[in-house]
Amino acid sequence: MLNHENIINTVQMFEEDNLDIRTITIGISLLDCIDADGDKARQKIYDKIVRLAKDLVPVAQEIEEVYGIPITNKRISVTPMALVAGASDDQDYLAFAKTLDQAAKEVGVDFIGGFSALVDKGYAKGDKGLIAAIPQALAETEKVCASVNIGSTKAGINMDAVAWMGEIIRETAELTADTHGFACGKLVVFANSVEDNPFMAGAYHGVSEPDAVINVGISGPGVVKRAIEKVKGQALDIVADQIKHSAFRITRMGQLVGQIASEKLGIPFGIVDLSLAPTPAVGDSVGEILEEFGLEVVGTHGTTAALAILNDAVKKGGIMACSHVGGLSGSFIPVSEDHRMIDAAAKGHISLDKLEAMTAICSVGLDMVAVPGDTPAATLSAMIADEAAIGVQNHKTTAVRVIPAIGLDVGQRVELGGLLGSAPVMRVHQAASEEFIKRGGRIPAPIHSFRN
Amino acid sequence: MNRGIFLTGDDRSLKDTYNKPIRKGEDIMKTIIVTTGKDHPGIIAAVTRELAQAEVNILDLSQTIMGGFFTMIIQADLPETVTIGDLKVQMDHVGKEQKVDIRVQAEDTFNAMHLI
Repeated sequence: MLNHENIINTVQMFEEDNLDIRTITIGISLLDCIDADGDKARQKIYDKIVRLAKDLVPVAQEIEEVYGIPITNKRISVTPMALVAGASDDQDYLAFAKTLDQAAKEVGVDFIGGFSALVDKGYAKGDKGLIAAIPQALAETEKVCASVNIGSTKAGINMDAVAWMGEIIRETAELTADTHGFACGKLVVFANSVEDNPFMAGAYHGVSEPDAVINVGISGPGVVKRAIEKVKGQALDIVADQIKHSAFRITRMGQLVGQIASEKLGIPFGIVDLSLAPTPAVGDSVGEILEEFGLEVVGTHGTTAALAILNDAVKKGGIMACSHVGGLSGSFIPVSEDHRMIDAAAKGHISLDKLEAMTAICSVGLDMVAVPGDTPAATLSAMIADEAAIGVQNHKTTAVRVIPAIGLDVGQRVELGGLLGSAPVMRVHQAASEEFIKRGGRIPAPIHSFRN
Repeated sequence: MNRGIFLTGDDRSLKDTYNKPIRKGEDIMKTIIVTTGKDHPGIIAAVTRELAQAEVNILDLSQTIMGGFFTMIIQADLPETVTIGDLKVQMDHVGKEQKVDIRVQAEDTFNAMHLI
């Protein structure tokens, strides 16, 4: 039986703590859209996406209205486009990105992810074409997100691809120099990417997934922060317990929303991604949570430990609250999307080195970070290699989403707007990594990946 | 009440359901209506009058003053002819008139969060 306190508690989460569901993402397989004729393939892609996703936005709005749960984004993820486009005779894959963009606009979703290639062990036919098309695709479309998986624990790290992705990021930034490289916010470079991630920019629909699936990404840093406020000064195991309770409640919302959306859309429910996605709004910040642990400012010594407690407790609380956990399910620390992280970065309390250390705990370590506009491609590649090494060695997903802020330098700020917030340009090491990156090849898979 | 089917990998029957029209507010009978704001005479009367006119049946009602604020929680059954969306519009009107905040939500939201 519900009691008075439970009800008020829930209302408070929605009204004061910014509790929302960050995204309902429909994953759609495009494998049956493959055609040697690019035009025919694109027509099939457009038709299938529109057919399956046309009710997503109205269904999400209906859930918001009836259940009173805000759903911030509606998204689509598709089969890595390199697989589909690679089966056609086309040379230029830009048209495939434009088709995705048109379909996304037609159904009114916020983003569509899956302009992707998986190249951890090498390039298949479509992979090079896809990667080459990324800069223009991101500059010329609005809703398309791209990702490239350059490493995995089983395969090691494809350093040729790492080197190339540094150049691709630079090229993408230069094509959108008027917005200081804004399009780079839509590009993620992964190691150990996952097939059921509902979060952007890294969502794609893996080949082992069903034809269509509903995945849900939760949010709610504000709820967790309030829970920690209640145990001020108390021992950390008590803090961890408080976080588990909140994570359980937040995840139940994700489970409910996913179940209803699945039923109404007639598409199976896949997973809930237990990542606490922040927004730039005050009270919706992962940085605030870490500071509530007792750190004067996020980024100081102790931040990684606090993040470890948070990440683990969110999983422990969330895992019992839903039937299937998946996606990234790790903490998100996107600098530009979190007002405490923005502030800490602008004042120099948090550095790229600290973020890299935090990658050991969360999934996308260097996320929405701006670096000086003249940062060399090889330096970007080396940043990617460092992040990938942490993921590959530790059996976990890691990623980089970095914006070379064309025309800006340390101390300045890229205004991205909306959920993407603003990113202070952060200092990179000036010493060159060029000779290291130039070597290319493949970093061998770690010894502990051979488990059979 | 149909709490929704949980579909797993079996998509044999899904093709038929892909193009199913969206159903408006069906299955949602029980709602929670939370009214909060500065206390003054007549809030309960105004809220319950509106609910009665909409043929909403009150199952449980509790009211208290929390930190100086009027707080009322009503659990109610909606008739089949009224959707939560409709009721929200009506209650918004009362809320403005009474200078209180009225939140209408399916009870399932609270059940999901607090009951295992």
